[in-house]
Amino acid sequence: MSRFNDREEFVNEALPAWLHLLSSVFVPLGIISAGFVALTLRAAHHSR
Amino acid sequence: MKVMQYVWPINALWAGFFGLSVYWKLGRMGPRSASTVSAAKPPGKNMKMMGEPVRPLWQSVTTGTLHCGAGCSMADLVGPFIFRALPFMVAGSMVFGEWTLDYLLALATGVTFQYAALSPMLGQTGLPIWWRALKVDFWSLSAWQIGMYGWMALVIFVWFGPIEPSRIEFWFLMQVAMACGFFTAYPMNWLLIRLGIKTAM
Repeated sequence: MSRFNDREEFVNEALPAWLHLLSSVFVPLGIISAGFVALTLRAAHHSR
Repeated sequence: MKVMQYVWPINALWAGFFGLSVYWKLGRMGPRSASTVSAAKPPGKNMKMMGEPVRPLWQSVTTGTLHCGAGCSMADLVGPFIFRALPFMVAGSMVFGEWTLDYLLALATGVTFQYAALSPMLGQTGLPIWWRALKVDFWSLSAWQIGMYGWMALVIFVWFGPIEPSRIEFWFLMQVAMACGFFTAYPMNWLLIRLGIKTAM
C-alpha cells in the first residue's frame, strides 16, 4: 500500500482493480465447479 | 436423497473448489450403513443404530448447512433480478426492500428443499411435514441470512456502495456473503441437530 499516495487513491483505484481481478477468477471458478459437480452427479445417476 | 442432486451444484456456484471438495468428500459416498461402521468401530455419540444413516456429526452438520444454503443461494440468484423488475422500499430503503424480498424467497425455496429432504427420510407427506420443514428451516436460514446480510451491509454501507447485478463484482461479493452465511448457519445447524429438531443427513 506504500506505493499509493494516500488512502483515497488506494480506495478509488487499487481496491476496485483487486475486486475486479478476484471476481474474474472466483465467479468463473464457481460456475465451472458447479458444472463439474452437476456432470458428475448426472454421470453417477446414469450409471445406476 | 434426490434433492442433494440440486444442493451440491448450487453450493459449488458460490463455494468453488471448496464446494467441489466437500461434494467429493461427503456427497459422493452417501450415508454409510450402520453395519459397515459397527464392524469398524463401536458406536459412539455421533452414530445411530439399526440401519439408519451414520455419519460423524461434523459431516451431518456440514451437509445440513449446505442444504439450507442451497435454498438461500437460489433465492439470491433470482432475487436481485425480480427486485429490479418490481422494486419497493422497506423502512424508506431500497436495500432493505431487496433484503426483505431475498429473505422471503430464501424461506420459500429453503422450506421446499427441506420438505424434499424430510419427506423421503420420514416416509411421510403433507401439511405436518411442511410445518416441520418450516420450523427447521426458519432458524437455519435466519442464521445464514444474518451472516450474509452482515457482509452485504459492510459492502454496501461501508466499502463500495450498491453494486448492480450486471457487474461481475456483485456476484463475487455474493459468493463471499454466502461463505459468511455458511459460517453463521453452521453453529445453528449443529444446535438443531443436537437438540433433535433437525434430522441428521
